[in-house]
Amino acid sequence: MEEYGACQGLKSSWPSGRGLAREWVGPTGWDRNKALRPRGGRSAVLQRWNAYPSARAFCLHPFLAGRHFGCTVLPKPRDLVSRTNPMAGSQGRGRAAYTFNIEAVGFGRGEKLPDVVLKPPPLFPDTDYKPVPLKAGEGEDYMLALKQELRETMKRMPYYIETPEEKQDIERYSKRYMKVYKEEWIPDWRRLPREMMPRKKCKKGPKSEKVKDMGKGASLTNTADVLKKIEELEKRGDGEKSDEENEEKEGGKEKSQEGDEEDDAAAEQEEYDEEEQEEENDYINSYFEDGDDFGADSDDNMDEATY
Amino acid sequence: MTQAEIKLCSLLLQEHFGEIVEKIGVHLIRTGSQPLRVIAHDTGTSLDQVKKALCVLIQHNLVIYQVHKRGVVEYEAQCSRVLRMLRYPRYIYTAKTLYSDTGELIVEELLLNGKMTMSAVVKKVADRLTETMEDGKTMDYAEVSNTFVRLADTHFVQRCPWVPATENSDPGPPPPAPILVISEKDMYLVPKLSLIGKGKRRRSSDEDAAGEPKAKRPKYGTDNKEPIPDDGIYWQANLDRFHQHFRDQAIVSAVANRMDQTSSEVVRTMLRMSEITTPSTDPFTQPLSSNEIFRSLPVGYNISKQVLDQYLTLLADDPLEFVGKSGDSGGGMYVINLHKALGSLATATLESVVQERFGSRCARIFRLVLQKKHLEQKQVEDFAMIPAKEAKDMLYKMLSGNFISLQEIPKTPDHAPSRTFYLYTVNILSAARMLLHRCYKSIANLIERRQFETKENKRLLEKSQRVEAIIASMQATGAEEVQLQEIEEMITAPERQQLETLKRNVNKLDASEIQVDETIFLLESYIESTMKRQ
Repeated sequence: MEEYGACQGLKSSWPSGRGLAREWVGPTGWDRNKALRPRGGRSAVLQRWNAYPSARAFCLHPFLAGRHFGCTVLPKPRDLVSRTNPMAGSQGRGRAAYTFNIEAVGFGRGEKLPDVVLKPPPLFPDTDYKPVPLKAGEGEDYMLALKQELRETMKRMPYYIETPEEKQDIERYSKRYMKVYKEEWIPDWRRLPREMMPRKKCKKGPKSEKVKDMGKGASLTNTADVLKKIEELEKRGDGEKSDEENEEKEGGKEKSQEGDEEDDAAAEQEEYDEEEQEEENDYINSYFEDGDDFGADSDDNMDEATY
Repeated sequence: MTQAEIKLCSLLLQEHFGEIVEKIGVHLIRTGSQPLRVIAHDTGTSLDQVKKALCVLIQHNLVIYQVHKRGVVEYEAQCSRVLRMLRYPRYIYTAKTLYSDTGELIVEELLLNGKMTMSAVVKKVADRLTETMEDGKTMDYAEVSNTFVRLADTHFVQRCPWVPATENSDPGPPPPAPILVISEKDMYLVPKLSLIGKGKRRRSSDEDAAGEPKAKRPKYGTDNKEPIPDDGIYWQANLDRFHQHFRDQAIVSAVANRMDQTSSEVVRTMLRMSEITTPSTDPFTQPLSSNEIFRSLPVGYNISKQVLDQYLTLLADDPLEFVGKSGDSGGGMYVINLHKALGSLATATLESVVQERFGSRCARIFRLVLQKKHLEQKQVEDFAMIPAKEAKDMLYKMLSGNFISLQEIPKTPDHAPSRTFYLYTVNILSAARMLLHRCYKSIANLIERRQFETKENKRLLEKSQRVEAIIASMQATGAEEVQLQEIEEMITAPERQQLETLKRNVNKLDASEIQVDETIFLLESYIESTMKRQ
């Protein structure tokens, strides 16, 4: 894991994202490119920097905190001669200007440091030390055999759901005789949410509505009836239109059954609210919840007979 | 979850349950808790398939559901549970060592099926055992039941939460999803069943399941008609108990490596005694008096009381601090420092990784920094007695590998670099996390490589399978040696060579997966134990 960039090995300790302007495109909105090549010279840059006092407060980097940038801001060449100036604040430019005492981290003065690596590390690096051989023993052998056996077994269990293959141009003769027959697995529906049960596509018009009404309890049914009546009265003037809307409402209720059962109560509530709020509008937003399932209906109650 | 974990989960799910389940599972792991329709919409799969996939995932305890307000049911995936699928062989092998073949098969069935009722497990295991026995012998259900009860008593299998049987007096609507509850005391309660019967041996005509049309297969319908006595009571494997067992094993073997066999036996006894009294997440076990330990030593060990006391003192004085002395009553009260033990094991793992990657001199520096906590560059060179240049190089290698980190201590408020101390230190928790992340990546790479190898040689593998099937059928019908030779020669010598190489490679990759998983277990236990204490 080579770090590429200036100070190899030291960057990991610096708080990331602050101070080094090439990483910090913070509240001042500095553009990285502009930071590296200041237009208008040092003074322009300094002005911009000093113009944002809050930015300086943000800049928690130890190198820059509390410093005044009256000194040099230009990047330094990449050798160690520049270290003599301890006040060089240009490490924010991403160049290897060592502004600290290089002795502290153990490099001698004027020493040739390895070159900066400017590409990601190789995909299959050579290792100096070869890995230790694997553990061998009775237990390990047994576990290995188990693992391979389990892998095969799992493919034959009913829990392994195969992707439906695309139809091939020519149906191979051998395919007929190589099919693996799997046992069917029926989950225990009592432990699963009701929406998990496969839906049967059958029309259940008024029957299911009644069931739903019963389910919601007395109060809601009353509200539903009342709302229905109000709607009818409101739209009495339009004649046909009111009938249409009633039908739409009932149809909408039916279609809302296609959705999840647990959405039913919610959807109905919403629907009624919508219709209450909406004025003279042929379009009910929740009319078609899901075009795919149009026509499919739900099993409200497991005990109920299906048609 | 990190990308590496998600990738690994995706590979595991795909291997075990197929692509559809993998797509749904990974989507849930990535996005958190979601309702059914959103899953179907986001993944672009049909509602029907999403339902099937979720049923499979819930059955295997990989996904849980919760009812939110307005009756919306949301599904959430358990990423850490998916990663446990790597450890299935280890669980099954442990059950084998503790409860022999019967226990092994029980745990295997429970792991493969997620949840099962006791009667179903007993029946299946008895059938499987009967097949492996000699002709004429069958496995009795009672024996299998006994083993099951023993597994439940030692907490290796536990009951799943169930729907409370409340009388539905209120005519309210049935809830969108059942709320499953379980109480602590019921978790290991075995229902009183009288399972009478013997395992059935499958007739030879049934064994060749492939290629037989469904209609001809004899139905196992008779069993379905009988009412199941323990309907609704499902059992699952208790993975935490297995983890506790693995942890104990690791500690005992560490003590055996460091000291000798007898001290490891003493530690094993102490751990066994605290199995029931101490929950596995505690930092140390309950104090045990020396007299108690003496009484509970295994029968074969006849060491005297004084010798035991000496061993305990030695263990307590050891710098690794596996065992600590907490008092003097009862001949000395001793505890096992579980958290410290896990820390030592994790540290040992780190040290060995450093040694194998960077060399023994690096390992020396690493151990030095570990011991002294914070060291300056100069001090490292002096203490380790390694020339400055090499020491520098090694330190920076380890630093860029994130095994060691730098700590800055400023002398002046303005943090001037020339007036700041830079100290090298090892942060075990973060290094452990880094290593764990790497382990996940390694296993993902291993699995990918194995799949690649298998795919490359798919044609050859299929051919060899066909040849084996032909030979088997010919042997059954009594063919001559010459004909068998001919069939065998269908696979040429270089192909055989290729197959051999493939088999060796796949074995190596599989074995590597198992061993990386052991490291993962140690690191995860340590990280979990540390996080609990904070």
